[in-house]
Amino acid sequence: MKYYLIFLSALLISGCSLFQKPVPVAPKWPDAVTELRERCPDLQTIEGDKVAVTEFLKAVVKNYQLYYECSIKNDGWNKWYDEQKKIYENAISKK
Amino acid sequence: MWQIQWMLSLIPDSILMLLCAGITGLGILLYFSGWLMKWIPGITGYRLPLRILGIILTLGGVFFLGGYGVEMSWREQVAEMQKKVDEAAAQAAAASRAISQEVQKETVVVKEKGETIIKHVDRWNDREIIKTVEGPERVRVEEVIKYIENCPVPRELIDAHNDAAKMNKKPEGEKK
Repeated sequence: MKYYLIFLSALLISGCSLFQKPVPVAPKWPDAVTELRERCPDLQTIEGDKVAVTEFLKAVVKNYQLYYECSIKNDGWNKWYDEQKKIYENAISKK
Repeated sequence: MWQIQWMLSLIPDSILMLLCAGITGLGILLYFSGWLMKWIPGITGYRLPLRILGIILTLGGVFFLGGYGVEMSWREQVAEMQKKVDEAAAQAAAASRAISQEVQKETVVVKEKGETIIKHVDRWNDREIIKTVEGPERVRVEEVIKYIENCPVPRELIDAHNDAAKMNKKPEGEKK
């Protein structure tokens, strides 16, 4: 009789582990930085018939400026993604 | 099934442990009281049902004790994960803030540099540049200004520039 009891107890205790449920907590992927979500503006074009070389140059300078502003956003996106990925993976790791 | 687990998760640890231990203890007590009954005349007929009830309660208690162990280990995992998630959320917010500030700062620097260059070009436009130079250099600057004022950029070059600036646009009539 007591052997049956011991066996049943062991079975019942081990049986409980079958009902192990998953942990219902997971890290949320964060919202992106607002500045990075802004669309890069269109490049400037030149209008008019008689355009001085300085006006032409100003448009070129303005377009370089727009490119570098957009390039900063692109670099920011990459940096943001890499850092968030590192933080996320660290949070979901078992260690 | 999850409703039961959810309800279980609402019960405090100490009460849950007390319940499990109580059921097991009661089962053992009933089982052994069944032994004692053989010496008490008149109630010996209750011995067997009492012992069976004792066994059932003991087994049920052991089951619940096992379940308690699993529940506690699960709660520990949840607490640990929650801590990690909170830390990650704080780190993520800090990283986003730092990147946002960095982007804003760098954009301001680029804008300022662009405006400085444009102001410098404007000084050629409004002849302000002449005031800053003297001697033979002034003659050269005047020649440059004369060129700026009299030689407009050919239409073909402007069109080429505008085409380059709009190269990401789809031709008219084509769907976006």
